[in-house]
Amino acid sequence: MPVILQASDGQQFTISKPVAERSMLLKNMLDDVGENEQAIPLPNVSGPILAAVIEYCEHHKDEAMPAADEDDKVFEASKKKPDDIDQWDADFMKQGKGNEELFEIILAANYLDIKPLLDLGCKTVANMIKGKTPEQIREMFNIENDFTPDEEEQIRRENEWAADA
Amino acid sequence: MDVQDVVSQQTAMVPAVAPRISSLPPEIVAYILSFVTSTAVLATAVKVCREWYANCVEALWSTLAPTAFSQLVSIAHNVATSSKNRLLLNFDFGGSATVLRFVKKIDLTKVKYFDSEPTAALNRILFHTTNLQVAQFDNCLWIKSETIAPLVNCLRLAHLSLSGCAQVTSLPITQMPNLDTLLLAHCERVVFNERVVAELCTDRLKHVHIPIYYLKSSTATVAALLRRFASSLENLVLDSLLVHAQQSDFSAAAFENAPPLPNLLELHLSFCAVPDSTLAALYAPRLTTLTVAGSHEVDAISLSTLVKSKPHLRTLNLPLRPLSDSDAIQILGLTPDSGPAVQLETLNLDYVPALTDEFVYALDSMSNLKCLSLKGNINISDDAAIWVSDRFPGIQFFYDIDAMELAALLEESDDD
Repeated sequence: MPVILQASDGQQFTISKPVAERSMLLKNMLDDVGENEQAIPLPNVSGPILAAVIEYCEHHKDEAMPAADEDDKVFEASKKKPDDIDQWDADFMKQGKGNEELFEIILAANYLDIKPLLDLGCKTVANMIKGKTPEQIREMFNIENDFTPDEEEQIRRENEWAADA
Repeated sequence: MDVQDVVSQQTAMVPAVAPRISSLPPEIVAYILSFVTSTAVLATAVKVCREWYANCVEALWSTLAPTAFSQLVSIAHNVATSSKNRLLLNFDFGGSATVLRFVKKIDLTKVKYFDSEPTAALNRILFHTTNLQVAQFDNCLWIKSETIAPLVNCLRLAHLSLSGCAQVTSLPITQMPNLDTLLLAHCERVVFNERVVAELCTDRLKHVHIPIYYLKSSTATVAALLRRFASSLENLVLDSLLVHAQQSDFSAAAFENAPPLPNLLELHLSFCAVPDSTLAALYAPRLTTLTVAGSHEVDAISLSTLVKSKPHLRTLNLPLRPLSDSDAIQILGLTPDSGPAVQLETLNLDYVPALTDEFVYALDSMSNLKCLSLKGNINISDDAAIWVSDRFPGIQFFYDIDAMELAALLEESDDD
């Protein structure tokens, strides 16, 4: 039985149940309400972002879901290797995705509770920070520098040693 | 329940946001930054804004692994000594706290440039790293007892490696309840005796490396260690030095009447001259790795009994032992009538010159062999060595080239 999802802009997507169940939110919902022909509205996710999320879930639909209690161990292991991103996943994140789109995917993955996609998005952003100056990072992420000059000076001295680490 | 109801319940808690990182929920910003692990990137991230500082400062300081000693001097100067360096932001741990309270590990083994000997700097830093858990100070010959004296305040210390710190005499370790690893290889002047063992407040010592040659009353010390930590010991390394083995006061009495060692996984004895029969009587059912190096007499029957009684044994190192072909074959259970061969993965019989090709070909039934070392065994031919590589594809094999070839090569290099 297919599942129908409706994005915030009204766009509808018909997907198979295994694809929908990559999202723990949808899985729990489908478990609760059973089979239903009604479209499920997702007011926090726009059409283009939902399309990308579905593309990801389609690709990964046959993979084993990590058991809940294993989750932390798997996470700890993956955290140690932030560069370890599967080639398809890396390409998926690159394809014409600007920062805005990337953040929207992270928010959607968080909302839909798709942990591997959330991790992938967060790792991708974490990798984007590499090799940038603090000012470039602020610009890229639209962050305001809220340090006082004294604090800035203290942090500079505190971290002098790490500059060539 | 209707689908719409479920959805509206779920969505009510998540406000629709304009997706800019500054408006990402704080827990997502924190989660993103938890994937940043490199020191250089963390050092940049803390400079971005207060939120990023709060998220990254702990990870940045959790490990101090300087690549140059000047970095320690910089930390001591900029962080440990100035009264202005209070912790920033919301970290209020009392007046004198600095970022050094986040340090869990100090690793001095990554230093590439010995541009200075930062004795005073390390000493100052250690006064502040009160949450230190791991201290790896290997081969820091400049470290003295006074340098590491402030470790007495690091009550969470679990791992202390001073291997090669030849100037250290006293160990500030008695008050540490979590100490599980103590590595003192080549600590020529260290004081580690029965009294120190008795004073330790840890009850979980797992991994100990003791330079017995340098210790006074090493026999009593080892016996006390075995008694006190019989149930926690997992890895025990006792080494003497080949040239000094005869002068050491260590005697095998340390292992006679040893208590059962139910959790011992690795036992390494170098030039300790503990008779094979004493080791065979040791109760250590989980042993996976055994090293008994040295030139003392071989008791092949005892070694054979020992090896057979350890179902988990995967690594056996008997370098320099005066083994004959038949001794080695008996110990490893390689005769046709001795039942299944011992299934070792790693075997080291370096400098056992009596071994010949007969022994090498007898290894045929050790089908799990992944690593074999037969260095310095001049009676093993190149043909047998080639057979090893063919019989065990992918094996890590250490073997010297033919002695004649070696002599020729040495002559050549002398000419240069």
